[in-house]
Amino acid sequence: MGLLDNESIPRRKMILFFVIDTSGSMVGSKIGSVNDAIENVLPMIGEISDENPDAEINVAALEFSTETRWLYDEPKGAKDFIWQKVEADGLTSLGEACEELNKKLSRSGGFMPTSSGSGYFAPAIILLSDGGPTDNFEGGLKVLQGNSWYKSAIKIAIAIGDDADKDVLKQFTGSSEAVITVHNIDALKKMIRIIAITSSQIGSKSTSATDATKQEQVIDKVNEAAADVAGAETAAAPAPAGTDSYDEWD
Amino acid sequence: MIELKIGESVSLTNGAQAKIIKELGRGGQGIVYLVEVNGQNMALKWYFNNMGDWFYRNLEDNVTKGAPSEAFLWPEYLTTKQKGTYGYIMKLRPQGYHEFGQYLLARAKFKSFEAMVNAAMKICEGFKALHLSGLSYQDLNDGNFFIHPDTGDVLICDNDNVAPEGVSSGILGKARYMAPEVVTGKAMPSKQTDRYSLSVVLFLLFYANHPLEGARVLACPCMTEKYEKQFYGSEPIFIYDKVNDKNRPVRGVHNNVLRRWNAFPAILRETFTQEFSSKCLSDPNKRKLERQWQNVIQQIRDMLVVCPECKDETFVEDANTPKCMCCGKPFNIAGTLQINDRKVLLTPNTKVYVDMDNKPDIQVINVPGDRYPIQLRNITTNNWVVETPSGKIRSVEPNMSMPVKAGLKVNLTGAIKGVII
Amino acid sequence: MNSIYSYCKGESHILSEKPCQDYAYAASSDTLSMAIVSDGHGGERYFRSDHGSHLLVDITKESVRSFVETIAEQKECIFEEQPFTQYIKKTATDSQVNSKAHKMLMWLFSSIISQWNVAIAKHAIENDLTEWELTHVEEKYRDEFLNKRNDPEATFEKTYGCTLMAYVQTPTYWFAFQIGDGKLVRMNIINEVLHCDQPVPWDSRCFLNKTTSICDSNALEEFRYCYQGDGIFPTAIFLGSDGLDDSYGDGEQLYNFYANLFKQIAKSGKEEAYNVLKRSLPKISKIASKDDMSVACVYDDSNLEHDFHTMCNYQRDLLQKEREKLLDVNSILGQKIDSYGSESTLDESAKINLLYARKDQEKVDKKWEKVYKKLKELDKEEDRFDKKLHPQKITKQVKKDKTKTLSDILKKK
Repeated sequence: MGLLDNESIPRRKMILFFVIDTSGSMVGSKIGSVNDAIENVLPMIGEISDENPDAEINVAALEFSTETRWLYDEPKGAKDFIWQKVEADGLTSLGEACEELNKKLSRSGGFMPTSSGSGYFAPAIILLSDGGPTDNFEGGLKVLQGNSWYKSAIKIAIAIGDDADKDVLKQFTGSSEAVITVHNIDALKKMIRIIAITSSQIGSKSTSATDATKQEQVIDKVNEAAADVAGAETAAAPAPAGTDSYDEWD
Repeated sequence: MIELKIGESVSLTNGAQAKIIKELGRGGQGIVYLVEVNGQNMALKWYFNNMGDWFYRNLEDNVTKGAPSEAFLWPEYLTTKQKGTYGYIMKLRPQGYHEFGQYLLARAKFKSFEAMVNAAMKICEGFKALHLSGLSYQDLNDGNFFIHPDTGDVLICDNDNVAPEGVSSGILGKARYMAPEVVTGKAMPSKQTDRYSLSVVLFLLFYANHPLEGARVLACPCMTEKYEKQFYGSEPIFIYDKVNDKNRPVRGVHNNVLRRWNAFPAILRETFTQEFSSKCLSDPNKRKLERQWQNVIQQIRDMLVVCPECKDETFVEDANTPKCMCCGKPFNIAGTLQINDRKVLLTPNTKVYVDMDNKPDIQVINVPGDRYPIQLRNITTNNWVVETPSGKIRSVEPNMSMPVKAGLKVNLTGAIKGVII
Repeated sequence: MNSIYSYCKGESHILSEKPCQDYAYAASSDTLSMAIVSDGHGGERYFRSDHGSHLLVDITKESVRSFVETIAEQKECIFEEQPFTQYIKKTATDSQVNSKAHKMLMWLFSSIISQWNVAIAKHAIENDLTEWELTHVEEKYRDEFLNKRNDPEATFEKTYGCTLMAYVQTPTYWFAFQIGDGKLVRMNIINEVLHCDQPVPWDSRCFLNKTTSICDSNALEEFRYCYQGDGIFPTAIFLGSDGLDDSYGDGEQLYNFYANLFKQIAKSGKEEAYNVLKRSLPKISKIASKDDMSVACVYDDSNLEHDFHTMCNYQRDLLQKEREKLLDVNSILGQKIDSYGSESTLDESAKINLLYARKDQEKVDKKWEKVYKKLKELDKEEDRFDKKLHPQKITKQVKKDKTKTLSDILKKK
């Protein structure tokens, strides 16, 4: 038992959170695309996790409609995360989702590693929503904003369609650049993939020598990639009017 | 040392008894108890050690003389000598006042610059009163002053070491507040050495850092008596000395003065730079008198107005181009009240102190919709007499107001006359 | 008392051709022992933090020496008979803040900050931008630096910014202070049992890659400390920069690492332990944090043989605790699996959860085996240690623990 006991240095962990709006308006192609996209991106994230000596990426998924529900009661490794299709029905309790996130973004009773465990990176939170909150969003967000993990997390949101309340998403992520609006199924799927992969890649690296925060790096990369996705709209480059085409594809 | 028990009685020199109710606190010299004397709650300071006969007689003298002013929490009764020691009775300190030291550590904060300036004025007043009584401080330290954070009212306590000029009661005070000539042992405490202490207290009040503590002093990791004698006695150097920059304030340590030095009015900087220049440090006769300090404080109080944009307080040094030090926006002065050679600036919500008694006399108010939207309200208990440019005489009773209109002459309180320009 | 220290460049710095920005020092004698670690900030703006940390450690060393000497000359020692006392500005009481010990410590920290400001300014003026800096540092930071050199009022704290941790021990008292991240671990042996903790209060502003620092404008207020003068001294103190706790976490894994280090010293002596440490740190950096690594330690070497066994018992306890946790988890999983009943009656979602539960049980089994192996290793190591020191003695018969796998344990039940 030497000084260097390889096995007792577990890799640092990073948790990727999917926070998914499963309210009634998501019914049909929207929720179908979300299920599809996430299911397909998980193995890719698993690969990133495997090839990355710096960190092990775990995934947790929270769906919110009238109530909130975690897919599993603890984060699972990205590689063996079995996606269970979520269904859409009900209201949009984003405030409650914020409070649930706050509970789990803690060491005791939450998902974050306790001190007896290994080192950890800031988590990444991806919020997907197509409408506006129907509960006390401000109250829930205020609680979440007091959480240190949330404060240092990478936060990105996808606004699905024009009815999405971009202002709310901007409040959640902290900047309008961190909100990408998608206007069709293809863009939705592509952006889920791009955002999940970019957050995983950047989030699981040891802090580099540059001064840009991980949040800034992710936002930059995502915005860059979004420019090439037809139907994806960033804060800097608003799309031409009337581009929602979900009905066309339904 | 024999501590007193609850319920125990201590006899006083005037024949009365003081009954111990409970301990209020303790310091380096003794314990302070809550006691009952003739049906009234008061405080008893009980010394750990026998302070000696000289000290006792001095206390007796002070009790007889009475307090120099109501700002002093003064010994009122003396106990008889008993159990190898003695003590004195004073009024209880009212709630809400914090020790000066707390402000220096940012554990207590002034509600406003107005309160800070009031405290400065009151402290000068206290020193003046003390000297008028022929007394001087022997052991000034930051436990002597209790200041109310909202009003700036000052209570001066721990007056047991106050003694006649030129006579030492045997206590050597903290070097930080002691005049250099006392630190080196060349002189005894006196009015002039007190004036040095006053300038230190004022500097600490405004800038929350000590005027002689900078890089040079901090080069020693541990203060010793030898260094104290050098840095506060034989070789004191002001942190912003014009010529010698060896003792400048230290980044990371002296944050307060680093931020405030250029933010507060130039007259303050100039006064302190002069007062702590090597000439004044070494010559007690060159030090400012209390009255002179009060003049300077009055000048900066005349410059203190409420910013009409952000409603915070700001000093206005150049009345031609007023700019708020908080929000940075330029604004307009509603008018100026000239009193002798003082130019008091007026903006809505500003309070004007016409004399030095720390009671505001004029409140500048907004009267929207009125022909004269900005007016001066009389918040004293006297009538003002106003003479209009055309010679008419009008009276402004307490709580009534007059317009800020150029040319109006106002007789505020007897001798003080002002004119709005 | 004895001491040991080592520091190395982090894997990420090797890759980006940056210097090692950590610096450490430790020394001990009968009258004074100390350990100091300083971690220079890694961001591009702080491109001379390697010099910053080096200068800071040297200044702290000398200042502490002077401080201790001066206290020894006073009639009354400020720490005399003081019980264990901690300070952090946020929760300080009035009486703490008025105590002589506090005022003198604050003065010491002020002096360190002041001297460091002077030293880095001198270094900045006397040392032009180097080849490396011209080619590796962003223009805007180089310009900021050059402009400051031309400004007599300018200060250079950001360019040289770093953290600081120190432990000081004399025959009558000890104290420790810290600004910024990194962990100071105390090991106490009470009634033959090892207790590990972190005596300096933590500052919640140090979180993930954010830290308080000597280059902050309110640096003095960010210093935190603890002291004790009532005759109780730690068995060992370990200072580790955040490269360590980013690798091991800041709890039992980290304490386990330091226990191993202590054991290494007991096993092979200080020289050899130093070599092992020196070889290991870069490897740990490569596998785990990638950051610069530094460790400084002051330890009581009067009872190494006995303490070795105490450390082993501590580690054994940790492993037993892990076993019990695994048993608990296994039992919960078992109940969960049973509750599902026959697989054919389940819907998709339940089937997936059942699958996960089974997978998790396998993981628990594997972990159990690993823990078993470690326990065996520990026994062997203790054996070897005893034999080496006392070759003549008959070794105790070690009761064979046959509970190699979980199923063995369950069989017993």
